[in-house]
Amino acid sequence: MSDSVLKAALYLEAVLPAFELIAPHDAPLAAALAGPDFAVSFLGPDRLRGRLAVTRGVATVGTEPCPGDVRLRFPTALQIVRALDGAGRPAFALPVGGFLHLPRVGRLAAAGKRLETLLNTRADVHLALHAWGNLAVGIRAAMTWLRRHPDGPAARRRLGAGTAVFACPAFPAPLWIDLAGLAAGAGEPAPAVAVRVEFADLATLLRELDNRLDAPAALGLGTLRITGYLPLAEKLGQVMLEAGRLLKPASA
Amino acid sequence: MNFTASQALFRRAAAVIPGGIYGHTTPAATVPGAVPYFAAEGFGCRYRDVDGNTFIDFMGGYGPMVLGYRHPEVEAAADAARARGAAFNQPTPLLVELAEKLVGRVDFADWAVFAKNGADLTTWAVMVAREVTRRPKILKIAGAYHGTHAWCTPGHGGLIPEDRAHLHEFPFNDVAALEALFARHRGQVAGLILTPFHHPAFADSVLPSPGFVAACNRLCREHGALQILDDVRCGFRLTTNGSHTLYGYAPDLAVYCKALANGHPISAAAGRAAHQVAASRVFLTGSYWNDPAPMAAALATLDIVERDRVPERLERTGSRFVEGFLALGERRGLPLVASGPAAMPYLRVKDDPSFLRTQRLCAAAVAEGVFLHPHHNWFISAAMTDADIDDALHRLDRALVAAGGRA
Repeated sequence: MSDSVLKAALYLEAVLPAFELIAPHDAPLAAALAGPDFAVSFLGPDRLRGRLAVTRGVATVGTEPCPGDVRLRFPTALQIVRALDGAGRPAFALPVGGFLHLPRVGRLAAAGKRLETLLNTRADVHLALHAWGNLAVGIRAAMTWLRRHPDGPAARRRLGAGTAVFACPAFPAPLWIDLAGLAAGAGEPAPAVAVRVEFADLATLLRELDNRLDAPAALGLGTLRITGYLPLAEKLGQVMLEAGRLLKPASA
Repeated sequence: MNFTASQALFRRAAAVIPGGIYGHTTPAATVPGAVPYFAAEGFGCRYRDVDGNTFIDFMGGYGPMVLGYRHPEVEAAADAARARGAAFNQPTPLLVELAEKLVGRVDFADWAVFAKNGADLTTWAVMVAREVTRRPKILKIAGAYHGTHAWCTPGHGGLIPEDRAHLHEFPFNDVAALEALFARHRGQVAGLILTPFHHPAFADSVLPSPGFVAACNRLCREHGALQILDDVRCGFRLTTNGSHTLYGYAPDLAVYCKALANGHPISAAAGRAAHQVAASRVFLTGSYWNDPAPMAAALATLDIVERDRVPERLERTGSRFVEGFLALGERRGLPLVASGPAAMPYLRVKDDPSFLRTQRLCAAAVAEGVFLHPHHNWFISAAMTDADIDDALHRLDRALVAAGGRA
């Protein structure tokens, strides 16, 4: 697997779902997406798929295109990366369906800008969403990495099959990842929890997101609390770090 | 239970020490917030933390305190040696006396060397195996702990793939997997390193099957590989003369540490005459490795272990504890699972794959003044009397209720 295929998959499978997660909690993002219903599907080689639909103002993210979608077919994975990495580089895509809805897709650019602001900047007004969103992207990035990276199957065997939950009082809802089914979501998970990771405050979580948290010290101090099967949290953290590095903005 | 002083000290520690407390004694590995972080003094099978809380200790410093804290004979021997000086230009006669003691005690041993920690000598033993065989590969049990050096650390920081390029793992007791590794790397295997029984963290302990022990012995012999027994945790605790005699291993090299000197810093490796010249070619030293006080402590400890039949005592005391705790778990509707030898037991709550209930039980035990670890095997001390065990069980009965058992 080439780096660009993995990176494109990370954008489609890890970043795109952040629209659905964050829009209900961020008025500017919801406003950017608001308007007549539309759906856009991204299609690329190597099973690269992503779909964002807005129906009555509610954003949902999936993988498979539906009839009526604006379909953007990218000849290479690198073109998907160029289209989605926020660097503003031209990307070559072939619209292959849903032409009548093409003008509505313009809203994506404004929504994308807002999502970028939320995920990549740290204004006080959206700090909690920034942290929550980045953690959510990190969790889904880990899923993609485990699914698509050549070392993914071996890493998945080492991880086992538990469910990990991440919580912080500032979060709108906890985030979880189920390693058995490689699924993720917000709220309390249905599967039994193997390990629960709780950040006492945003400052601790931000240090973790920046890979600057002395985790053993934080555990001793109580600013980080891990209950349950600690090795799962440690190993999952390594995968999230590995996957997250691929998504860091070029300037970071 | 109040841990105010522990936590205040930890805040200072976190400002000036990576991790606050690093390594196996980090509170992160237990139940942070519910356990002491800093110790103040020990006596027999009990110790006191910096807040003045006292615990019946089932960890014994993670193994070294086989006779209990401040054993008078061991301390007298160490004090006498220390009074004469430390870290001389030359070793003292104690070096030779201790090597002779080990050679006389361990049946396969023709020589012995000394260091400070287990990892000093597991790593050295691997190098000796490579020197003897002129081969690169080392076979190791998956999940077994042999120290903090790059080839074996359970951590992940600071490693490069080359650190483990010649290390191959297989599951404990899996004869077919071991045979397959020897076959796949025919002519390349320098050594097989293993612990006498499997005592991984976050898992039950597993005793070796007779077939597995026989296969280890046979395959090492057939392939000309050295068998390295990491007896760091078990040595002189399960038997007086090395744990290989209990299970039937035929090691070429064995490494001892934890129970060797009752808390004084020293480790030892013992080997066969056939490998003595090769061993002499593998450079071995450290600034404090000839320090006489720990050697005096080791000589005293080895004598006491034999004189007082300490392994038998640990087995009997451990059985009383394990059977009592299992019965309490049943009575309180919180069934427990026990594994490992009675002298080094590990108990956890049944049907608890996440360890959440085991963690809750260990936190409750600490609150009752019994120090248990939720994810690591425990250690019975020869300082424990039946009355101490009964006292511990009485407290653990309350802990079971506090952890969700029937009142």
